[in-house]
Parts: sequence; C-alpha cells; structure tokens
Amino acid sequence: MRKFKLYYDKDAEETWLRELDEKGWALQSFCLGLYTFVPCRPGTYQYWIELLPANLAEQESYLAFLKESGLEVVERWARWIYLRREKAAGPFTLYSDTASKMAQYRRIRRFFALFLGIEVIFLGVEAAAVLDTGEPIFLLFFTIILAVTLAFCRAVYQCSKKIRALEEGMH
Amino acid sequence: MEKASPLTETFYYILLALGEPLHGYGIIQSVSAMTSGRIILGPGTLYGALNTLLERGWIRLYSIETESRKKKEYLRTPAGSQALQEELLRLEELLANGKKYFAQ
Repeated sequence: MRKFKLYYDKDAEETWLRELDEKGWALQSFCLGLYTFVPCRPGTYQYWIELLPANLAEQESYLAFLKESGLEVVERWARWIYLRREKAAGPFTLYSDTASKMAQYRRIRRFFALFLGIEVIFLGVEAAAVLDTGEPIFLLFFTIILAVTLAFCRAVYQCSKKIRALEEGMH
Repeated sequence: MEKASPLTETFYYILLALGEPLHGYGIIQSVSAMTSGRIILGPGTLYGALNTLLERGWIRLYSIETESRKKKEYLRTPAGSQALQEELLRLEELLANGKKYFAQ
C-alpha cells in the first residue's frame, strides 16, 4: 500500500504510523512524502520519528547507539529517521524524561528555523523578480515559496508550543 | 543544559549503574532492575545524558569493542562518585526532614 502525505509535525506523523499499525500496516519505506506499507499483524510495532544531530560523526554514533538499544531503523531520510520496536519486546520509550524531550524539540526547532531562514531569502528574491518583470511565472513561484515558508513557520511555532507545554509541566 | 545539582532521576540512576562498566543497553536494564521497572530509560534520553556526563568528567569511556561494532562501555569516575555522594547527602536531608515532620 502506498500513501502520500506531508507532515511537519513528527508527533502527528508518529500517531498516524501507530494507527496504521493497529490496522495491520507496517511502514516499509519513505521518500519525499511517499510512504510504502506492507501488511503486518495488527499491533506489532511501536514507531518513533527522530531527528539526527547535525554533526555527521555524531549521527553515526547516535544511530549505532539506537540500534544497540534494540530499535530498528526502518528508514533514513536526510536527517530524519523512522524507528520501530516490536511491542511484544516490552515497555519502551525513546525519551523518558522532560528535559530530554525539550532538548529534542529544540533540536527540531533549530532544523526548521534554518529552512525557514532560507525560504525567507528565496521569498525576497522571487518578490523582487515579480516586481521587476511582472511575469506570471514568478508570481507562481512566489506563491509556492510563500506556502512553504508558512509551513515552516507553523513547524517552528508548533515546536515552541510543545516546549512551553513541557516547561509548564515541570513547575 | 541540565543543572549539576540537584541530580535528575535520570542522571542519578545512570551514575549509580555505572559503578561497573556497562554499555547503553546494559544501563537501561540495570536502572530498570534497580527501580523494579519504574524507570525505563529511553535511548534518546540516555544518549544525551551520557554525553553531558562525559563532558562533566563524571563518567569516562571504559572500552570500545573494536572487533565487531562500535559498542562503547562507560564507567563512573571519582568525580562522578563525589557528585553522587553529595546528592546522597542532599537526599538524606530531604528524607530526614520529611520523616521528622510526619513523626510529630
């Protein structure tokens, strides 16, 4: 089974993967919004989506650590990884305390903020092109980039909201 | 960044477990056994905590098994034991005051 979806909230994406698992579908691969699923016994796996560190050596070290801890890496896409573990193997979480959950959202926020910055630059370039030439094609590009920029804005905002909620839970 | 004191539960139990050399999964199992399954450390949490403890010099790398994979073992340092003992004194004070209050 193939499905096309675009997520900017990894928690919502995790929930979706878990729901599909309950219906007997296990993730096989992911690329550019295209998910491929294969049949599985309903309720076999629990899924987690994680953002690897920016540093390449750190990425390999963290990946090795996750695998040693009993997690299966289903897919690696850019800095994102899709992890799973059989539910029958016992209780398990990726993050077991609030401080580390907050650190994870901060890392994800930095990731999206970087792309947001790049998109804002592109947006400026396209706006200048529209004003200079008045060509409809540039207006189309401008609109597309504006949509992407807004999506990254939402992603950054979502992370901030989750960090705040965790902070409030600590006091 | 975590404050050095008081220790969080995560840091406290990792330090306690590392009185003997253990790799990541060994730490998860040891802490789970000590707390009768109450704390099951997540590898994401554990990885970050180990890096912080290494930076503080409270634990050190014990060995790297080179023949097969990069499987790192960690061990508590004397500075780590010192931090653990200071935390124990703080916890004892908490406990003593709490007990005194309820004994009245």
